[in-house]
Amino acid sequence: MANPAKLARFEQTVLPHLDAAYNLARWLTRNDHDAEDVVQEAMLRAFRFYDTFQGGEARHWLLKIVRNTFYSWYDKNKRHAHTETLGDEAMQVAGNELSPEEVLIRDHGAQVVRDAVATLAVEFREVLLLREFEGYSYKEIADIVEVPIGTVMSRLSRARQQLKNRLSGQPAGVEV
Amino acid sequence: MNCKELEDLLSPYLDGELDASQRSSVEQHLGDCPDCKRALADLGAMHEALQAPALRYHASDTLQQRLKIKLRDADAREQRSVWPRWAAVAATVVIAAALTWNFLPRSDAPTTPGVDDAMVDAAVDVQQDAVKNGHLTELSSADPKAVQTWFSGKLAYVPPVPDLSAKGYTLAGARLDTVKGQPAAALVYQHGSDVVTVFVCPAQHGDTDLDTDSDDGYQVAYWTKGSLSFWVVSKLDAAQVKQLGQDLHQAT
Repeated sequence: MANPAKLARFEQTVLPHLDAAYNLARWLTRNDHDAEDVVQEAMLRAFRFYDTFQGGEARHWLLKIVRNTFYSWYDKNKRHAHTETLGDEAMQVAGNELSPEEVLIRDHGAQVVRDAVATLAVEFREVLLLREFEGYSYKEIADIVEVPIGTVMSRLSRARQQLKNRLSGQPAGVEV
Repeated sequence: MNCKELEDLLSPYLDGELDASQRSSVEQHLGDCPDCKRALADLGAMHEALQAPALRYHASDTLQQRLKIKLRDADAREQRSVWPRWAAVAATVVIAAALTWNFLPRSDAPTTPGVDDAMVDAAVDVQQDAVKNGHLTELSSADPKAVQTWFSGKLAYVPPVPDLSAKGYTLAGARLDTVKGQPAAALVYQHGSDVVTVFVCPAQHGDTDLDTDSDDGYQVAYWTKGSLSFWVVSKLDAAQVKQLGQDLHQAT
């Protein structure tokens, strides 16, 4: 039976995490339009399955759904779109006039960091986001990403290594 | 501990994810090694940089408003569909009972030929698409448990994931697919250079014995057991696919 209070409860417990859901989707899809589509689909899915939500961390539960929705979207687009190779580690942003020195880690302008993170492969990007933005433990990340804790640890380590290399003046340019 | 070994531990050290003994080994090394100390400081600086509020994206008001409307619509639809849904379940039970009754006297006969033939074609199509798109597995794993866990939450049922390594079929992984509009767990096994995909879908009728068919160069072995139907699709020869089907039929 539909519970007349379902919508109200959903709006109280899950909807407040819309920003976190959008942030994750936006970082994964790397553009506003697709992020909105993914979040909308994820929210509607979450609502449909809300009866199966056993309580606990609504944010964690929602982010897991956002991630699954993203991957469905990603698979579909990977099949049809050849314009962008998401997850390609070697993806380089078009070069510009900034010298490597200017790109140095020195002042960590938000845009520089943002661009560097965006070039990480998707499986590195997601663990980095869940750790740095959401502050999740390795165990929680392992649950969301559905890999063993050891894999979370090594992906995170490699993600940081790559990010560090990119920030410390790799020739890859920076999109402004 | 040398610098190379330490490199992989710096990140979990920073996150406070090491146990006490690892932590003290790391700290001991850091005490003697300015290079690693610097590397840790770099990671720390990067962590700080990533905390900048400017890096967070926020949902727009438009998205928020649109979602509220969509959720209200979805809620209204659910409330409306309560009775029809029960009616549909009841109808399905009646049909299932009727079908089972019908098949009882001759369970080895082809049951609903139309339904199964269409499924054979659909399963082969889906498999061809997957091969063409190079999209055989979403999860690569040789561990049946891991594959089963991966499906949890993605499907309304738990597909059995048999270990067939003793028979020469290595589990390569799995993907979620759709066969004739129905969600299907696709288990992918490797046999030499050949690939075997086993689709596990919700059953459309009562239990049936193993049957085989071929379509477009693919051999298919299929059966229904419990509430699930199984479709083994491969380019292996007919006898091999049938044998594999029999092994699986027993194992599931």
